[in-house]
Amino acid sequence: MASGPFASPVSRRLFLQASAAMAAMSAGFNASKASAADVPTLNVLNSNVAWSNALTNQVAAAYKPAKIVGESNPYETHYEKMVIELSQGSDTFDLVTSDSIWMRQPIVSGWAKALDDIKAANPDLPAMDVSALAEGSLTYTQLDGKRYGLPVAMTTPVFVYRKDLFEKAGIDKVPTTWTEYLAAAKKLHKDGVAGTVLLLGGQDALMSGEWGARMQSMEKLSSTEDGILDADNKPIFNKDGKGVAAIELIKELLPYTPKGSQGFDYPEGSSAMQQGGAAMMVTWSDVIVGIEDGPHKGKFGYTVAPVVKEQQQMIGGWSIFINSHSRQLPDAYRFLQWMATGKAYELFREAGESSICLKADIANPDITKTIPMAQVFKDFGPRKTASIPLPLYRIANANEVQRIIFEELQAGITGSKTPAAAMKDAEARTAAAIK
Amino acid sequence: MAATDFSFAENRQPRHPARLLKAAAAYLAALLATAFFAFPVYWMVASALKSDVDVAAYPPRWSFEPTLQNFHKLFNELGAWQAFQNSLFIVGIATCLAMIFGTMAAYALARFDIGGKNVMAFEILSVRMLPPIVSVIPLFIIARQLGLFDTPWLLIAVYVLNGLPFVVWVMRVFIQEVPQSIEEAALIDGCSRYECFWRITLPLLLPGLAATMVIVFMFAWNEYLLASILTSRDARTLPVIAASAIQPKAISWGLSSAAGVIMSLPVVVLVLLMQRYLVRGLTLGAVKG
Amino acid sequence: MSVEINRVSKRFGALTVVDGVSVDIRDGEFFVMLGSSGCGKTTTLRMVAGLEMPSAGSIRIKGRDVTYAEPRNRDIAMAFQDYGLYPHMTVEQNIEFPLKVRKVAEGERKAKVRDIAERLGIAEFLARRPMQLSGGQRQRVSLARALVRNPHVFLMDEPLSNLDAKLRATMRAEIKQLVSRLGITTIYVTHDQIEAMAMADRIAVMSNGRMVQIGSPLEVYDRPKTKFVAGFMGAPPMNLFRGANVNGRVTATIQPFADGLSDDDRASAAALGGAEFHVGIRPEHLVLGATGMPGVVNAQVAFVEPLGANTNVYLTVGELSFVANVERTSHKAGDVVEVAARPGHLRLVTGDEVVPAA
Repeated sequence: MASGPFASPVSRRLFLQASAAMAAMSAGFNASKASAADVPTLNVLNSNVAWSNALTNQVAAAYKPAKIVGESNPYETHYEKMVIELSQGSDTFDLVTSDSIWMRQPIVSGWAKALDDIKAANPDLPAMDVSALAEGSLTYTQLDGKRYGLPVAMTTPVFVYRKDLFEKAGIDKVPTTWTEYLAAAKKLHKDGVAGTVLLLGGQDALMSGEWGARMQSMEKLSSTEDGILDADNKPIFNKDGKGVAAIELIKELLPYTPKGSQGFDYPEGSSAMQQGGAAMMVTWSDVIVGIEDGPHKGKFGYTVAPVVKEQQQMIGGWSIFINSHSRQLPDAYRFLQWMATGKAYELFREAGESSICLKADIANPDITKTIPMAQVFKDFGPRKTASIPLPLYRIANANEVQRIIFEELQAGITGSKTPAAAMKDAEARTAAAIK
Repeated sequence: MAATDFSFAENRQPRHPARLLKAAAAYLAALLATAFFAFPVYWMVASALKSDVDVAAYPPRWSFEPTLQNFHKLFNELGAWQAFQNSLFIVGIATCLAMIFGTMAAYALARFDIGGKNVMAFEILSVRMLPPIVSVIPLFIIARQLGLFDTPWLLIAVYVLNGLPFVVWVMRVFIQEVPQSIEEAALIDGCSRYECFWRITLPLLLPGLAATMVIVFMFAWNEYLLASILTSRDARTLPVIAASAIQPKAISWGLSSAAGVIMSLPVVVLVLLMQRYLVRGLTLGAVKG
Repeated sequence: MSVEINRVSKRFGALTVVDGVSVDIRDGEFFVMLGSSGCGKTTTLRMVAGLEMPSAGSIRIKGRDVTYAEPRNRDIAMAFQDYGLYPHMTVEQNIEFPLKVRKVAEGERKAKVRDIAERLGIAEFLARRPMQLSGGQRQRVSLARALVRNPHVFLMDEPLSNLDAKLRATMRAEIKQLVSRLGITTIYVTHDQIEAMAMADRIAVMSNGRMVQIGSPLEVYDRPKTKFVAGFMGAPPMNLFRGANVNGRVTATIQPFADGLSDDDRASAAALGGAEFHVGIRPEHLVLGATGMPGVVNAQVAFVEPLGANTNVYLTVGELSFVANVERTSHKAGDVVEVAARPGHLRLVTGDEVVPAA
């Protein structure tokens, strides 16, 4: 036939089809932009977990004064995107959701707009009332008496255990101290079921906020300090060698964990529990979604995690704040004010979010029927547990420091460094890194 | 006649058991190798069709009731259809442009005597040497300044730039393999340089073009970092949606596998389409007796 | 004048590949550029074709200055050593390509293609691809493609070197007949002096980027001007005996040969003074057993090569070795034989550095 690449009938047809398709799509692009402009649109930098989906669906449907839209982002990308967008003063997003431990940076960098300032500039806006929300969840979005945002989810470490296996092994008291925890693990570790799960594999600091399990072995000096940094942001996690002691405790527990727990991250741990591969686990409350969906539905018990000495429980979660560079500050404020009244949180819960922060929900005696793990919040009282925010939340580069500490912990636990050497390096590197 | 019969009998080799064994062993090895590489693909497709309960089951369940709920979720809740269209549009155009410009540049570098040719070629390659993350923030700033943020044109430009060095360097080799005498004959026969390129060189480059195009398409199709940072809602591409399907705090293997399946489909289709060009034997026997 | 090449040079950086070549090629002439590889013959051809640009000098075709013109505007055609056929087209498409590019109407195109294909005996292959043809057939397709347009100048770059010896001989004759019949000016490049001798109207012997001698084949053969040409033409090549002017007398390593030079040659030799020159005689012009002939020399037979049609006899005189070529001989290695030069065939051959008179 004739020479040349477009001589063959097939490729000519393909070319024309492709051109037509491209023309159509490019028209489609322009069309999608032309939407009704009667209500303002608020764009949210969103995550991809239960409450995030509810935010852009059910909550958006319930809120009439503005159109709430958002894009879901996986965890690591979420942080990067937040930093890039906000540091460049971009106005793409009006509202930004953030892991609570990252919050300090937007606040001190001026990326998060103080809600009081918006109200001051627009006096006819309604006053913000956060009394409906649990106290522990509000810490992250305030500084020096000013409020910068709201929580969307409150998480806490949860101790999950198999009630039926406890019965079989003759354990009638649920462990509340580390000693009891270790003893129970030894008793339960048999017949193909591991005593307990340790999530040691979440290496990357962004990927796993694994304070819950790793730091639980640490003896705290008092019930109100988080054991990592003191009030002046100096590292105290190895004061009097307690960091080394904590590592030794975990190493003692290691033989009673499932094979491969050195590399376990959240999904693997949850899978193990769901499938009955282990009898106990300490993990975050927003992670154990799905445990009940397996063959052992209904057999799980939830309570506060066992501690070494001081009864305390970390509070983490997600927050939402307003981008200082947004062009729709009043509308964004209005939305947050509406959220704080409580309806949004109910919708989160109905959509399957178990990390609730509405006081009414937590106090509701029937809450454990729909959210079994809410038992943890109920146990705070009897256990006299003090709620503390996540360690490192006060520094602006929490990510980086978190990663350092985890790396050194991992080295100490796996044996590539002696616990003493690991802690020494951790102290030095942390001190150098903290801004 | 008798002599012929004898020699025939002598020359015919009896079926040695050793030979059969060798053939069987070869087949077995090939089968094992294929199974080794095909298994993860099978696993991904199977996981995509499993319900949440089945997918996390341990020991793994080999026979199960297939369900499309993961795909449903992907398309209805995560907006995968829109992202798929975006990806097709962006990556399709970017690949075409990279191929066109890259091949023409490669031709110039291969055939013409240009001052500073080697410096130019190196400079094109150097684009590839930067880790993409280094260019994320500058691109972001540029995008905002030019008002290109969250538009397909930005990603198209970025992917063209990403693919260009590869196309230039690979096509240059392919072009150099086309004997100069064929092109010179065309020039003497009456073609301008451009006609010669279009009518003579390009048809001979088709296998090279096909192979290069598939690879450029694949890289741009799978590109995640720049797509996630430089888009918001309008120009979201498929890899970004797929990444969202991997929920770090939930057991969502089924959803991620479904995302993996729809991510792989276009590349597989493309390779099948291009197969004809990739395996076509070069008829360059016209040169040299 | 069909093609005028005027002081054309080509330099690649510090390397001069073609050094001031000038020649005028007549209409319908079969002009051969002969030389070993690296002598600049192909580069010169490519400059005429327009595939290279000269560093200096000018080229005119049919009176028009084409020094920097594109190949397609020069009214030329070219046949390449590796045929340069388009692999993705059939033979017919290959041949019609030059016409197609020039937008000749289809009917006329097909007719011309058929015509030239028949003339070259490849009409039966029109539907095939080049890959399916033998070397000789491909060469013919290449020729057909070149000639279908009836170009003014036909350039050929060693088109037969990839063929086996037998095919080369037949193709040689065919090509010469074909272009002669068509009356096309042809410039032919080769390293094979037999091809040059067989086909050329004029030969230009080239070395180091220069045309050392230009003349008809027999002229170049009979009267090579320099050592290089003498050593290049003919197989075995001309025997050369170093000469010198001593005390006003022209001498050579074999004196009788020097004495046998023509008066003109002897005068020219004397005029050369101290410059290098040789006395040359072709092997076939040496006579063995030449008792009684003037200028006889006694030589010893080193060895004998009987080639059938003739015989090479390798002789030595003292330190000197040379070759005689006779029909048959009964001499054997070790024999002493009397050798003489046939009168009128001794030549003056200058050294290569000496610029020969035009």
